[in-house]
Amino acid sequence: MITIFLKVIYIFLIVGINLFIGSYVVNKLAARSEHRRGFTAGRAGGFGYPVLKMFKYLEKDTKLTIWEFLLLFFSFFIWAIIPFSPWLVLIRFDADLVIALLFYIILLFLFLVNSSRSSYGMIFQNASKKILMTFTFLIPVFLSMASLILINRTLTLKEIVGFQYQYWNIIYQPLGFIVFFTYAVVQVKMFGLSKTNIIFYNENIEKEGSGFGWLTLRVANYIMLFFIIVLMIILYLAGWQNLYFIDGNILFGLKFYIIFFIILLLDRATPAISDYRYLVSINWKFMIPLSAANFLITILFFILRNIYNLI
Amino acid sequence: MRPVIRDFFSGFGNLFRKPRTAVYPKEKIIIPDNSRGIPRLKLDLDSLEIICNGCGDCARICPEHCIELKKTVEDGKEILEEFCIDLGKCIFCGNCIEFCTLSAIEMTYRHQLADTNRDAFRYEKLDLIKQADYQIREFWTK
Repeated sequence: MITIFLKVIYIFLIVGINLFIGSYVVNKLAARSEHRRGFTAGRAGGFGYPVLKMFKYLEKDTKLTIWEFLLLFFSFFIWAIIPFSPWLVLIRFDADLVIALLFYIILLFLFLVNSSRSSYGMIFQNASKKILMTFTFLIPVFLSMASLILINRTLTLKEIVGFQYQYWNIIYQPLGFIVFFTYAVVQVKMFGLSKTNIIFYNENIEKEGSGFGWLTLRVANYIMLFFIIVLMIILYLAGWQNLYFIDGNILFGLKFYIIFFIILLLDRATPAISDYRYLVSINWKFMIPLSAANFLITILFFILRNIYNLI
Repeated sequence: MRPVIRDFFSGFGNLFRKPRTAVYPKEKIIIPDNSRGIPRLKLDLDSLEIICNGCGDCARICPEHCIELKKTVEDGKEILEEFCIDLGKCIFCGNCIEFCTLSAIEMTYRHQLADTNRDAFRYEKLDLIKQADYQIREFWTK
């Protein structure tokens, strides 16, 4: 019982500290890449500013709707099945990759519903468009995951990490990794970390959602990005496996922040997406063909090896 | 794809460069050259008298009509008696300097003018002569 309690505290700490650092880094990186300063208030280079900002939101409004409450709940509950290290996982499943994806889809759905609910009919109509848009982006992710599962022959995240003790999955599945990485970048572009994207946010978000509800939305936004990065590390970059003499847990954090930095810099380097057609073209002209090709190559490899014994 | 890669690396390089914005009261920067601040009345360095003879060209050319002046004639020579600029109206366009035939006015680098009293923006002849302290391009000064 105590170990479970300890694990919960550890996971909360990991997520909380990374949320704090993430929100600080997002602001500072966005500012410094444009020769600005970013946070300056709150002592020590504005390091206390995310906390001040949290209190600023809470000061305005502390009411929560049911959707926002579910969003907040799931953004922390989603980490219950993700293993940060071989022992730091709350609930163990045989097929926890599927459960993780299911939780991610639930979080995505709640996020979209929350950003689309309004008394205005026009915004409500846009909701279906948004949901369709975001869920078609999951097709290439599923395809690249399917080819990964074909190689590793397991649905357990821990075993997938164990499989990579010698060679990382990125060597076997470089195209799949590219698709996954593109999905993470597109997700940041869609939901907007450093600036709000008008496509995927409610039109009256600044007026009505400036309190606790807006804070939950921001937290969910960060959590979804963190989740995709952690999943990417576990699936393709060998998770907590040691590399020569470097400890695996330190490597996990290093990989996380390197990918986080690259995604944020790419977010700054690419123009803001203000049209559905760009997203459609990214998905159907780049991600889906790439992932389909990756899947076909993997299947072809197994057919040639297992059925015809050619390889 | 090429502009994205270029912007990616330029953004990455900017992380290690000094930011161009200044945290105003803490940090001070040098004012850019030829920036326009409060006008000042020049003195003749030999006789230490005002060069301006009160011809009134500056008052006529001023788009905001913020210059008021008065001249007298002493011993057949025109002398400036009163000169007043209302900086509450002044837009710092620099027309008065440009059209002055004797180049008797010059712009200083002083530009921080916040005050609670509106009359404090009316600068008389003596005040404008005193602005000579601010003709050097210096740090932000009050």
